[in-house]
Amino acid sequence: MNAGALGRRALPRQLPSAEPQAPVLDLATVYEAYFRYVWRCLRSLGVRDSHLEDALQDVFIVVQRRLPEFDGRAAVRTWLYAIALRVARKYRERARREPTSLEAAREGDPELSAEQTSGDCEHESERLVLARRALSSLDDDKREIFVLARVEQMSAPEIANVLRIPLNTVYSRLRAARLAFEAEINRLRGTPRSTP
Amino acid sequence: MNFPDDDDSVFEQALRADLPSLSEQNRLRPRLLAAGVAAGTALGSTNVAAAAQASFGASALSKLSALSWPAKLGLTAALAAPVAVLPLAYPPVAGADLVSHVRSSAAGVRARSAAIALHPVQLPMSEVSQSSRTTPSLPEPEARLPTTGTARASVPTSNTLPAQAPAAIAPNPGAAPAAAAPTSAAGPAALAPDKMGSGSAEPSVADFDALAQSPASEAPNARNASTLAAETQLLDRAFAALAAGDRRTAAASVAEHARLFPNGLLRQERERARARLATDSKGE
Repeated sequence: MNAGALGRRALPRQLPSAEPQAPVLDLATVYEAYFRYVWRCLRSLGVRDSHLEDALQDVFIVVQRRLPEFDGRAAVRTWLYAIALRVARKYRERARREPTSLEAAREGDPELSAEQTSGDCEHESERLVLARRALSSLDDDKREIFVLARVEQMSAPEIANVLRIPLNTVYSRLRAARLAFEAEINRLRGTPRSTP
Repeated sequence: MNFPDDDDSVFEQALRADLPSLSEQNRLRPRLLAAGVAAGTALGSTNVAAAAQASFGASALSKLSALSWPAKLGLTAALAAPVAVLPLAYPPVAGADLVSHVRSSAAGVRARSAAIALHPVQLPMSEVSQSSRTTPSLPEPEARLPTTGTARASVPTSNTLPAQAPAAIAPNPGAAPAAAAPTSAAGPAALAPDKMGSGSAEPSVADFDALAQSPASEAPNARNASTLAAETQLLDRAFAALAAGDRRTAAASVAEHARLFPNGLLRQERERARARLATDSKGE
């Protein structure tokens, strides 16, 4: 089941049908329905594995704090990703300031993993490693939009809402992000870049 | 899919399939939910102690509360160990000053909240300490500082903790009268070494580290430092009222400061506030 499918199906079950009423949500409900997608989103957005639990905790602390203010006008999923996005930015910034450990160097260095993962990438795990390295080579703007669109499968208007950018910018930036991602994958695999 | 060029690459599919296992979700559930609940409770409370707690950092508190029991045990030991040494290292009067220092400082309030989250079993002991805490060396006005009320008010913020002792949640009716009316009988009891140890739930590790490194002759400094927060609060209020043109509140705050801290650390500031009050009244 993908994130979009779950998000769209879980929402009507959790929210009352009457629009004006505040949605009845609690932390446990949100956790059960969305934990896995927040986890994936944070990882894809560049939160190091060593920081992942702390980042998750920060997200759910914000969720708990903000739940009473959640008015249901946006989808829960969009709201959650907006929180996760900001938490991920904080942790990326923290990781940049921290002295680089060997583990962090491996996480952030595409070349290192390219040596380990070169080949046909027949296995899912190899593809994942390669994809994560390619993701880490994108700049923050492209990475965020790529993750929200291609991994979390949010719609362009949702992304525009989360990132607070114009819709046209979403399309253009996403296109650039996909090209950059593909080029990086090809580079890591040692194959020539395909024509877009 | 929502975009025109929708062809999925196997790499995007791999990223989408990168989800945590159910066991991972179950493993993190207690920690994350406990953290969220603790933070929400702290921020949802309206009392002063909760505000102090929130300024301390809701996430820090919630992370403390979400620690595993072995970690809590270790931190509790770290808190308790210096306390066990204090009765041996300090004479009784210095110990009383230490208690007053910890009680009347804002850091004490925060540390107590954290200590409640870490080791609720210690709380009843500290409540006992509150009720019996009256010493000849402690000026009466200090016993009525706002922190006396806020320390107890912080208790409800942690009542979601499963191991919270009922006695710790219940307000202690004897605390305020005992603090406001020192008696000779209560004094020696508060100075006894076992009572000294009972204050262990209040201070933070850093408080004890700092005190343990300072010689006993520096105990008066600790007490002076303890008045600084309250003095600052009073004079801040006075100057803010002056700026707002509220002379009545300003005069009341200055008078309160003069009454509570006649020789306080900020007496010059008090005189300045008084001078401004006088100037303003002449201007009118």
